[in-house]
Amino acid sequence: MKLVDKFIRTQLELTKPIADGQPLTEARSLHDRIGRVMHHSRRRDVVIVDDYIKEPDSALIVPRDELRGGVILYLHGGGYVCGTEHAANGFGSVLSAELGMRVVPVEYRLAPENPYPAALDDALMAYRAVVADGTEPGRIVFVGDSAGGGLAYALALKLKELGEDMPAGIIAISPWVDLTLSGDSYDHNKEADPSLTRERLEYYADCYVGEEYCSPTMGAKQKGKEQPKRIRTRSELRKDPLLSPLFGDLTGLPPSLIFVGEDEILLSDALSMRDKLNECGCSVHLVSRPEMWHNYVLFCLKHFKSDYDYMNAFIRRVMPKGNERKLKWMHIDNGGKIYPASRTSTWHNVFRLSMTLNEEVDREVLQSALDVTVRRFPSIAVRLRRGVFWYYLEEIPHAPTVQDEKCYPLARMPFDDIRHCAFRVIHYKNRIACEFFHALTDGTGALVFLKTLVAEYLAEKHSIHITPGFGVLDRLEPPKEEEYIDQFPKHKGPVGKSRSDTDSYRIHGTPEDDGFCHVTCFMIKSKELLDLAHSMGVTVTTVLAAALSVAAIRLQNQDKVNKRRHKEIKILLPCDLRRIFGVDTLRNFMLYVTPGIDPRLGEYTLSEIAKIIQNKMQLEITEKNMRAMIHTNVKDEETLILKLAPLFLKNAVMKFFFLLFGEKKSTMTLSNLGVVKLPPEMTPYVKDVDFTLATQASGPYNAAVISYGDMLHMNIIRNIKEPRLEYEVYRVLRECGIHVKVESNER
Amino acid sequence: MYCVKCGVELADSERKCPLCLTPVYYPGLEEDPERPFPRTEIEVEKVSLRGINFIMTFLAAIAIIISVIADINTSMGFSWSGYVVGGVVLSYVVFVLPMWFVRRSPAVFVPVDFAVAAIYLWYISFATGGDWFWTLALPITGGLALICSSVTILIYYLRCGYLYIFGGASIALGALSLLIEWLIHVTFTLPVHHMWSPYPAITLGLIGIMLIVIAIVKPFRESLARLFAL
Repeated sequence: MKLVDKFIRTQLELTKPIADGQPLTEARSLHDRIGRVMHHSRRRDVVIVDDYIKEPDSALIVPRDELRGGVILYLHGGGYVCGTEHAANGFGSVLSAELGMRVVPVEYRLAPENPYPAALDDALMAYRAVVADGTEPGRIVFVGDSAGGGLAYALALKLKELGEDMPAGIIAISPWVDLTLSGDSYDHNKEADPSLTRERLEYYADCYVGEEYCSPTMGAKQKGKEQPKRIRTRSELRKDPLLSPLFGDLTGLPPSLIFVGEDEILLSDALSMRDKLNECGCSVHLVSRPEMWHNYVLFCLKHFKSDYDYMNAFIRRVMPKGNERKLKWMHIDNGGKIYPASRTSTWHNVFRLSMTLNEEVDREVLQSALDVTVRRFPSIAVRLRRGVFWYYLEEIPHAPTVQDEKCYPLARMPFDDIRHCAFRVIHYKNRIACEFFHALTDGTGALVFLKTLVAEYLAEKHSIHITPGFGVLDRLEPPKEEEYIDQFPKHKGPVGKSRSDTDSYRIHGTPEDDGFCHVTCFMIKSKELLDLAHSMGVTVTTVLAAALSVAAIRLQNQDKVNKRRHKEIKILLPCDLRRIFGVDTLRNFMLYVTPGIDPRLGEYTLSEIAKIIQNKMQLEITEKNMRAMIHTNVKDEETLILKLAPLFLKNAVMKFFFLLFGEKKSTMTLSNLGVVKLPPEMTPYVKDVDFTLATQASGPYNAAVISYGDMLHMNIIRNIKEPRLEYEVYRVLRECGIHVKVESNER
Repeated sequence: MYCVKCGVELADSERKCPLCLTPVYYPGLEEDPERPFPRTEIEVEKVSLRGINFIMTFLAAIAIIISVIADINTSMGFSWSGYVVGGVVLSYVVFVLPMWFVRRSPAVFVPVDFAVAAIYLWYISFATGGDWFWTLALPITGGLALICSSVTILIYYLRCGYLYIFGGASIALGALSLLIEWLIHVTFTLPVHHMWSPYPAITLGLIGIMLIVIAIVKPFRESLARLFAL
């Protein structure tokens, strides 16, 4: 016997006489405390969702690392008289964490206040509620320890009696299946058992059997005369199969796995149950451990870790095939295919979304919220892998660790990092930032992820309930198929559209030698910009694109190039296709338009440019035109020769075309995610939302816009030393009477 | 607070205007404001050349070992592999050896390259039984070594007077061509039919003189700069 065992045994033996004389309230509070400790030890591995079932009020324990579908209905022990919410959640958490399954710990009513059949009724109601919630009975396993083990069998018998579907299996830990205490181990293990005594079990049994049916109490007396047959003696009732399943007809019960310690007085209960199940033709496996005491499994002894292997193997055997969680994998969508190919040693297409709270962010809670959130996003919580023909995305088994902020955002993601996890979560003071490799999703999809993450964080931190909606997803619902399939091929038009386009002006400057990126945030009152846009009859995005165009025209003038050799100024504007096609995907689903301004034609005013951009956008952003553009993109991907080309060849070709044609066609990108709306429960906590793009591969600038509350934030990023564009943009805005406040990550 | 030059409103953490880079002047400047980003620098990975050097050394060693073994196996002696070894060593000294050093002074490496080339030539003349090393190969190599070394050293350390340097080098090369013809005649005792060396000598000499003239006469240099302006 190991030293730990000896120690625990001695402790149990010491408390044995005390426990016998203990009042019920103390016994209950002891159970409660043990449960709290157990849950505390596993609090990192599980999430408890309260009020999952209303009647009987039971929680749902979700493992952070959910390995398989299905639900465990856990019936706690405590002789039907002990065990409350915390006691049930305690071992429930252990089960959930060890088996990687959702657990519903049933808080059935306790005797003697609520004698038989209260506990059984509650267990039945909980079972029905789980089934009603969408879990097939074939994916439910009953787990019960001690009295809970007996209750599990009683529930199975009850289901048989009612003709309802049976669960997949029953795992019983030191089950108490014989309330008559007739087994011989009550005598020969009397001394050896370090915790239980016959007297105590007698008392529990009496409590559970109750007074009403067996003794002439007030209630029974009144009804007694009318229903004399209902009155049975205590001993008769104790033999009832729904109290002592050992005496029932066990045929047709699902497979069982029973654990028992050989030193406990309930040993014969387990042995007889095994024999009886065998007799009735049920599959049963008994694990008995020498020198172990009652409910030894609950003590989580290190050298009996294999007990959980037994449970895992049992569940794998009884559950339908394909129940085990498989890491999803998916092709990169048509819009994202260019990003892994176009990456260079110093540049990746990444973007950042961040939320600044009104309080300091708790790193531990954030990590825990991230663990929960990633499960909901199998298409975003992924890593990039190399296939023979294409890159593909694979779900990551665990959430990545929250990282520290550095002196600039969107630092290079080495390919080795992307291979392990293609997004990162960064925490700095009040801010939670997520940086995504663009192959995973676009700004709109990423915003849903960030909102959901922050909602989960706030819910965990402040124990508030945040109603899903406004882009916040329910963290515990399963991912929907629509969210992670590639939407491009579905919305392909009948014919394509030429991609040919003219080259545009490129801003240049002195590159920062160490890759430092300057981010300048322009903080503008949304109202002022909106008024300006309305006065010109255009949108806010257009006004900002026009302002950037005017600034770029001025820069080109400063470059002292012959005016006749000036190139077009083209601001690349991503447009969200979700709105056009009415789909809710979390993958990439956007295209670009690049309205151009030709400075050779003469001088332009801001409103002139704004009108040109607005008109060009209206012409191009139509459903038909977008379908044609999608056709062109999808057609390339579907060409057989291209399909069969090995990845390295594809990469070389795609990179060549990207550098030659892709980037030269635009001066810079301006991405506007619009106004961020949050559930009303979240708004008091969230101060700012920010959106930042990485620079272009060969261009030094990019700009990203997002609005929250009454403020609009435009983050302009650059990797050159001189703030050329920023200064000009500010001048343009100032000339229009727009007040700007700037903040930067100055060196 | 506001920028004193461009007038933009600045966040409290700014110490110089992010738009016009003007330092902030403000009486109530906070000592340690809350910055939007920490100062933690991101370490940029630098590719180490040492790894490449090791690989190159390894490859050179493999080439030498394999050719020597193959030579010994086939001809039971040391026949053609000597040339291979010499060639590999020469290219190693020229291309890889300087990579091992942080400061690569041409004063050291250019003469060393020529010295190794001379040794290689000596080996070839010795192995082929030719009698041309001391009278032909060594003087030509020496002359080229002198010219190349002086040009590279002068350019590397002076970083000016390129016209003088190249003019001088051009004249020296012309002179070398005369020397080469004379040495060929001496070594191989050829009958004198016609002389070729004056042509390159005169051309190179004239180019050299012209470069020096351009260098000396400033107005001429400027007019040429105007004429050939891109």
